[in-house]
Amino acid sequence: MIRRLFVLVLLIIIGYFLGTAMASIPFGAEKVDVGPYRSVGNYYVDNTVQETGGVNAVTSIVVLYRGFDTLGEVTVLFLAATGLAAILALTRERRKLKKEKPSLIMRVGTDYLFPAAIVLGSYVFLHGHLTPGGGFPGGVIIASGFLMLFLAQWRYKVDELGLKIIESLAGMTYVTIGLIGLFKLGTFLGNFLGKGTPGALLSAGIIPVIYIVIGIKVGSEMTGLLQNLRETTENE
Amino acid sequence: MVSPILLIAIPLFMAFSVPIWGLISKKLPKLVPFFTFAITTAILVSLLPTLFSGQQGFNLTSVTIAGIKPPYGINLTFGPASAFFALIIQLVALAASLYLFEYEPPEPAEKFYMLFILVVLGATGMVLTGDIFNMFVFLEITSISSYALTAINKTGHSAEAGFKYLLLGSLGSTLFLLGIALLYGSLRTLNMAQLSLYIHQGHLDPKVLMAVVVLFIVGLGVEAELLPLNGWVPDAYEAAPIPVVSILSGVVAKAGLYALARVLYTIIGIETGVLNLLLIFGILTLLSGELSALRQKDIRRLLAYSSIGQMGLIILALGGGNSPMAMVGGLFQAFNHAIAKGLMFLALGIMAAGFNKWDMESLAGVGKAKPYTTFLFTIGLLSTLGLPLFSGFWSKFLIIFGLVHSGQVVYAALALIGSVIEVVYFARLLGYLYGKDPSEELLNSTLESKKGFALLGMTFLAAFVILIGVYPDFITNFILGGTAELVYKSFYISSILGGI
Repeated sequence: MIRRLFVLVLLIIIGYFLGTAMASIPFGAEKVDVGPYRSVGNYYVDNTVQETGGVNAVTSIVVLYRGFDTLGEVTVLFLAATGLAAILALTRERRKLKKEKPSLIMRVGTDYLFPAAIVLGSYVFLHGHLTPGGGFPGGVIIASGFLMLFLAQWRYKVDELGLKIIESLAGMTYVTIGLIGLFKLGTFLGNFLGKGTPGALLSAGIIPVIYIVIGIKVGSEMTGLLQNLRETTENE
Repeated sequence: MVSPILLIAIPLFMAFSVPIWGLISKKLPKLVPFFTFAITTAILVSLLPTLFSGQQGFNLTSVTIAGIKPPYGINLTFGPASAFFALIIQLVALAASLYLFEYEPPEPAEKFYMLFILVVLGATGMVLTGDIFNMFVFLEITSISSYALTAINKTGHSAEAGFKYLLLGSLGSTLFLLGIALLYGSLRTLNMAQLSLYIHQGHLDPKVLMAVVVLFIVGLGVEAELLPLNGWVPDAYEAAPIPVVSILSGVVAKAGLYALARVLYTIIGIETGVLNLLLIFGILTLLSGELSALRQKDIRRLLAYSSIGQMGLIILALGGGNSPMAMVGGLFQAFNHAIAKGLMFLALGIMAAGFNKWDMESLAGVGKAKPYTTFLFTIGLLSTLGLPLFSGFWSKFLIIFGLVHSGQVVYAALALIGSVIEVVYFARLLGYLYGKDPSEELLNSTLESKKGFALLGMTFLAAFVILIGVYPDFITNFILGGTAELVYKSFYISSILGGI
């Protein structure tokens, strides 16, 4: 009881300090430049199209201005999938779970929805530099297509070796694109392809290339992750 | 075209490529970590001469990524402090990867090697980056791979240790991210040099500054093994595979330490009084670690608590930053601790190989059964104690004198008491290792001569301990330069933003 009271008091104190700190930062206000440099947000809004050739500023920030973070985030996702696979391996107990057969609607619906999910996912990462979306959501949409297959067809399995190889090759390609930039332009992840006409499908240099790689990588990783999780809970 | 970015790009490429090597031959993935770290160490060594030229005697290069200049893009910084910590990380990783040649990892082996490369890559990224959000990304890479590596043995105990680490670690990263959000919300930039400039110019509300300081210390304190946040350390060191443990103490803890020093010294600035916090946290961590080590029977736990104590000593030294001498001692101690603890854990792994019991009673007399390994272990132990002629002597000496010099006599005295406690438990440990006769079981365990590559890696670390103990000038330049880089923030700011 006293311990709980102590925790409560501590939380109130921490909350009070954080609250007063947050209160001094205006919410939703115009982003004013603080000091001698332009604030990064304003800079991106003003310069994205000229500097990168991409009309989707968010994508340009994610892939070029902060592309190194994105490479890191791809690695974090890869790590999560790898770590999970490493820890769950060999702990797959043979357990009989009570399962209901997937309904007819589920099975038939999946037949139609699966190709649609793949097409939509590919569209989202191919057009990442033009419309909202990009490699991460595109990859997740593709993985959701496979999730439907896992739900509708019990015995459906994706070839694990194939997934592993696709994942590896996509990751290696991403780093290689960065290294080509380093050798051609002297800067890692440098945009070594032409910027093209802003708004065209083939524009914005390496942004679409990187998003295709990310889309494939995220798609295969998430699919592998889902398959791993499924196999640990339902083994026949 | 050798650039510090290769220290991150090459390991990343190699980590992704492990399954491809596995297709060619099942034996190849085992070699990948060693070759990766051999290449990165070579690159790092070839970059070192560029550090010490120019008028100040050292310089700091800013490497842009995607050709966008800071503060609008992400940059890496390669100065004495970053290079020094990168060197520590690479040396320990190289020795640990040699150990892997003789080590049968838990299945799936490929995943183990990938995680092993990625944890070192994350730590290298943390010490090289010049962007605070990028530091968070690398902190995530480092910590997530450490959680997985801690739990990878797949026993109940390792699952518990991994989960404990996961909970504390993700709490820490979240708080660190919250601190970054507060900074970005107020100052609209993520570049560390620009943040430092703006805070120095007084653009940040003092209330926000205080919240950020607390969030950063708590957030990074998990990896740096600070007192209330180090509950995961003994369990993780006990449950994780031995090469991983040497990485946890030699690489992950050092990256956390660097991050803490970098954000507090460069971004926040020592004029704000954060040093007092470091002194208090440091001494509490030091004394609690050493006192807990006294009671341990399992050698891995004993070394874990000793590791906590040493990290406390380093943090204490960083808190004495008003006197450059303590700070120099602190950085020096970070090097010594990484090398000596890495060596001790690897040696312990060979001492218990084929035997798998880790308490003092079972390993009693190992000095007679496996003399060379125990000898290497003893070198690490004596260096940790700070005996003359070993590298640990110089750093402890500098820390104590630096603290006295800056007027922190009470802290210096308490640190000395900590060192005395250390002597007590390490002397008892040595008594067990050498003073008794080995059991039948120990004599029949795997011979040390069958672990040639591992011994090579450990000899390499031990050579550094002795070399630097006898001839400390070998790394003095880095330490003095690193101290200057951390303390004089105007140098850091002008090196990165100066050209704009």
